[in-house]
Amino acid sequence: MHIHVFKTNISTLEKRNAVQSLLNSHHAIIKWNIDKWDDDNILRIEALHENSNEFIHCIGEAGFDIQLLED
Amino acid sequence: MRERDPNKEQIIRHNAIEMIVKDGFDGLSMQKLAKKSNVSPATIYIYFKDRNDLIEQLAIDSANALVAHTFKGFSPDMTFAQGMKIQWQNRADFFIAHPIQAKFMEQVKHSPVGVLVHQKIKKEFSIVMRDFILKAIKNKELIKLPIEIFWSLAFAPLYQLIKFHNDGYGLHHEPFVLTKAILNRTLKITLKGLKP
Repeated sequence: MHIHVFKTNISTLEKRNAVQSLLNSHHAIIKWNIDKWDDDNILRIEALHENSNEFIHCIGEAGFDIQLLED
Repeated sequence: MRERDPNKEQIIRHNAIEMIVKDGFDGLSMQKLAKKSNVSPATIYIYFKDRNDLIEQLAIDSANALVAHTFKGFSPDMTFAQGMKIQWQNRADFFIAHPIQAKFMEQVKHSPVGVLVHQKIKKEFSIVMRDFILKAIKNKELIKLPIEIFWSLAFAPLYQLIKFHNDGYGLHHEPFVLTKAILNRTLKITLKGLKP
């Protein structure tokens, strides 16, 4: 299990609902959540692999801003 | 893969509790916590799903630590006086050794997280205490009372003394230390008041 942490612009309930089915149906995502309390709308993904670019690509293609947060 | 570092996690937990005690729950942000802990914000999310998860884990772990310490050497089969003596000493030892945690747990108690904590520790704590109290009532060592009155009489005096000790001063702002003698004297009077 690999943890990926991203800064996003998924700041509203509407945006969360829009990204929900995308994340729920992704084959490599075990669990995901967005920290609603955080100004950077942190998206945390528990995934089967460590390739963050795949998630950046698919969420970016869906029209959202997403940036990997490094350790 | 991001590796978990127990030392880093401990630092994050310790700092989070300090920040909450100092600035309240609203004063805790993952960015501020990361800065204080000398880690990146991403690191915090290795250990905690989100801010709520962090607060809940801290609250539950603190409560579990208190319960474990409270019950050291204690059995619900003890006489009421014996059991209360051990509980008073254990609770005093815990909160005097961990004054920041004492303040944190007080804040948790009066927050929505307090409900969750109560549910999580209910089995370990409430059931043992219930058996202890019911036995004491049956053996005529304890008056039967509504739980809130019992708790206020049985433990509030202790917690006030702990607070005086941790603050370093008593009611008139004179230096105060909770000694064994003061604790035992207060317990004796408390038990007298609870006896049928």
